[in-house]
Amino acid sequence: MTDVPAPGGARTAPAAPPRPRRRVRVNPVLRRELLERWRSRRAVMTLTIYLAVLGGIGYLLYRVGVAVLTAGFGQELDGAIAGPLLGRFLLEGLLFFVLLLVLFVSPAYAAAQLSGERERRTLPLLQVTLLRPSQIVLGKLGAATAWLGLLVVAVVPIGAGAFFLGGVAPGDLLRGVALVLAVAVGVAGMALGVSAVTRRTTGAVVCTYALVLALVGGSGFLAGVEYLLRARDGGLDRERPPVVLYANPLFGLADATRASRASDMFGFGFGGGLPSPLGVIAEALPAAGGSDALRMDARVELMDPTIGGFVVPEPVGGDVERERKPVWLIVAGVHLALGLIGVGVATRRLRHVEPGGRRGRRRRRRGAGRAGGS
Amino acid sequence: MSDSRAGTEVAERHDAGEPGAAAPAVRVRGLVKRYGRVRAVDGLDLDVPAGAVFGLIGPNGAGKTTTMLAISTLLDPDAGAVEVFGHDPVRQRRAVRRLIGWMPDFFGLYEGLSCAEYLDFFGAAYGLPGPLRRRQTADLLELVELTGKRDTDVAGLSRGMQQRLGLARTLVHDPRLLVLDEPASGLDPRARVDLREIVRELARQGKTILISSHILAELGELCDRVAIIEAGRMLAQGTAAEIRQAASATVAVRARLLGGEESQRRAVAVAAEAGASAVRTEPDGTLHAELPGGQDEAADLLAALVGAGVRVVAFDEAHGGLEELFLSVTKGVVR
Repeated sequence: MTDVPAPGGARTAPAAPPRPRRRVRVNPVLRRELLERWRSRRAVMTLTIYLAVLGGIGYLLYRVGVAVLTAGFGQELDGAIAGPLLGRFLLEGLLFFVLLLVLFVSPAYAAAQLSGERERRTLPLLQVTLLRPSQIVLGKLGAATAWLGLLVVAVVPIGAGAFFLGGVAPGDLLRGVALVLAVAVGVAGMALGVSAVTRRTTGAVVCTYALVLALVGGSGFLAGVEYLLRARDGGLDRERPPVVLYANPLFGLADATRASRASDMFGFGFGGGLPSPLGVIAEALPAAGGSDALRMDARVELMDPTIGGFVVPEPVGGDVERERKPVWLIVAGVHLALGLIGVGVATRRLRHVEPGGRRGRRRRRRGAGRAGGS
Repeated sequence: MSDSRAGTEVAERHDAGEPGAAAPAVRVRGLVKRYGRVRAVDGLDLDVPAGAVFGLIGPNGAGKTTTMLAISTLLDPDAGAVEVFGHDPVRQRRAVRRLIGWMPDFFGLYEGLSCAEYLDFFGAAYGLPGPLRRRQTADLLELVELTGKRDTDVAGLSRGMQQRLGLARTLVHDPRLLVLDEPASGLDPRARVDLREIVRELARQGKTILISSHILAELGELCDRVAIIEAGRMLAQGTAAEIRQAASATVAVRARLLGGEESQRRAVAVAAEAGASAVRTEPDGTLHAELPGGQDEAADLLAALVGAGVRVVAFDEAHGGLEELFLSVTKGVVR
């Protein structure tokens, strides 16, 4: 047996006080989460499988693109023309897949963070320490987004493969990745907020999925209704997309990647020449921005034999570019703001601690005098 | 941050609790906590002296856990006042949290962490710097005899080991008050003995310990003072002898006599003269009697027996353990 050590107890004072060193203090909750999850064999397996699937999807997109273009040309592909089309198809397809993955994984992963602590009864153990509620929530947010961030960033090397084909600028990839990361943080924040107010992980996950569905499907549906109403009242105003679309991550991704529109005529009847998964929603981008501005100019550049396979399809019309609305930044901002609200809700919720919460109180009401704690 | 500076900071944090150093460890006045229509705690008063091992006993649903949660800053009372070393757990949560170590009746498992990492995490959560955390971890693992399990996943520990690790967790920031809610629940006899020894050791080191348990015999051995609560109300508190005396108008005594039947007959007569009831003797020469009053009357009887020439070799109060006391004080009220 030893005496319980007193922090800062018996210690010989050094002759000269050592110079204080600045140390980065990692949030303990984040550190524990990373320790708990990232070093497990399951994490390694998941990342390996994910990268394999991502590579497979990239290859599949390439093969599909080649097949479609071959059918369109009706002859052997001209690399100078087909390369950029394939590059854009690959980038938009990959980022679309990663965004869907984030929207699918983030609710399940982040929503389990707080309710999971509650279910395994570790939350009151955290609350009774000197950690502030905001530290607990931010640690959880960091843990959730660190993993998702890794999955998103892992797409960069594969997405960069599109540069070899052409039709894609590094900015397209970087903006797209940044948008997906912002959406990941936003959804994780919302999930934490939901997780803090629901008792069960299952309930938290279902509620967060409902929120994500509302952001993606609900905003799309409402935008469609608004378009119908506008059409009935005298035409569409392409300069002014429905406001609800700014909550739609696909809308932001379409702008970030300058996705081809479905109505673009590039010789084959598909946006940018190949069927972009973002083509339909890209139609709603403000007319002055997106691929509208670059479409025809880029077409010339894409075919410029002096540029070869690496083509920068930036808008040539400078006047048009100045008017361009940073849609993807607004969408990213909306998601980050929603995430911040979620974090605020979770922090506020954790400030009032009642181990067992409503369920515990109900149980106590029922069981007072019968069983369990008192 | 240097090690010595880190130590100073922690020491300063401890000093933050010093204004209440002269105050009792815990003072509860008129505590009320409702869950819906049920009053889990109903005007409870409680005083836990600093340095005491204080047992909180009561039937299920009596309000023990609720009281402990209110003391541990984890539950806001609906009415009444709680003080921990002079600090208010509602308005001075952080000050109170520095001073207490709360151990619930569940472990709280983080799968994938070793015992050392588990303690290190909670050390970090209490703001201890790295070198100090590492030292605390090693020392606490030794205290709870888990040094050999340092790198073992906490999920792989037995229930008893998990409880010991949980106790180490409550000690990681060197609190002055330990709030242990049913620490022996679900443990086998061997693990209970181990845990009891650790609690004794902590008491020896001067920690104030507030402990609840259903295993009253163990509490009886451990605690200096106890409080008995039922239906959210305080029935009695003090030392076991004080409670016993307050709970009963009589005192039961037991005397071992020498001298055969004659001596026993004389002793019975003396006891009857002293107003004792339920006087009886056993073949081995033991006299049992119940006297009106308390210890004074018992002392008078002993003097009368000796004065009457009865040879007494042993004389004591005949009472059961804490369990009997608990049963005599509580009424079995269920809300």
